[in-house]
Amino acid sequence: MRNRTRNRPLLLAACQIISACTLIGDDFLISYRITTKNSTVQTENLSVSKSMTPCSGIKTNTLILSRSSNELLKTTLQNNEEDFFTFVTQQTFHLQSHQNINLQSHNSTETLTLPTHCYAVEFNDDTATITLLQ
Amino acid sequence: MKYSIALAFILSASFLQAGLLSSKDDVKVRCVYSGTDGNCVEPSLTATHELVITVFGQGVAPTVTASPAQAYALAKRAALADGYRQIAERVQGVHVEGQDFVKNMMLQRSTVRTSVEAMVRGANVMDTTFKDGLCEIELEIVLSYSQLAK
Repeated sequence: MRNRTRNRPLLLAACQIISACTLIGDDFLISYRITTKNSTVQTENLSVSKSMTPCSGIKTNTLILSRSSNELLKTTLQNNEEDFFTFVTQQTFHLQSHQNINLQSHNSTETLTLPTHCYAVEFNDDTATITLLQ
Repeated sequence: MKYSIALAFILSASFLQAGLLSSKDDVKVRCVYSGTDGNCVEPSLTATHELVITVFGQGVAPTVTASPAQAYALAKRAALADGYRQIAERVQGVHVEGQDFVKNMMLQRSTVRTSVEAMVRGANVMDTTFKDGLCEIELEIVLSYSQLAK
């Protein structure tokens, strides 16, 4: 007869594997920058990087996005960009604008930057839950 | 002589009344922010009164796009940036630099440069319209003492 106490580490490992398969959480650093010239987009850059060190902070706003399995976070954000931008507009944006007006022409340039923030992302099978850490 | 003394007395009395003796309630504030009904809205931010600023950002879709959806998305991005610029200009102010070059009493070159740099938080997209390649976004920001304290 097997000892019941020896089964505990095995049971714990099985629970960990099951929880890891169903819910994988990581910290990601996300930033975004867009440059427009004369009200037309020139460049747009979304940067997503996995955080090398755990982020500290309090979980604040949460966004749930639909995703297909094994899809990268950047692809998920690009596929759900409307929801993502509604989510990030609540945060602080840095704006830099220049206009140059002379007798012949009028040029304007705006650079809108979402500063790099850490987000806790939990991947499920068909959703990704993004939480801002502040 | 009597007339000049009387005139001086009347003038001094009127100046005293206009300057020193007038109360602060008589000072008229020029209307800067007006509502949709035309009534003047108090532009100052107080502890009990929130200030709502609404702007309309405009963005144009690029001429070469892969699809109408991409054109809409890019025009919306540009409109968002324009809206943020207007908010920053209204709240923080604009740095304006002008230069005129005159030669032989004739204007040769005139240049106006404006710039603004700000951090904007808490702007809400109220409405989005897209028509004929032009996207218009209604952005609203609420300024309050509690938000400024954060």
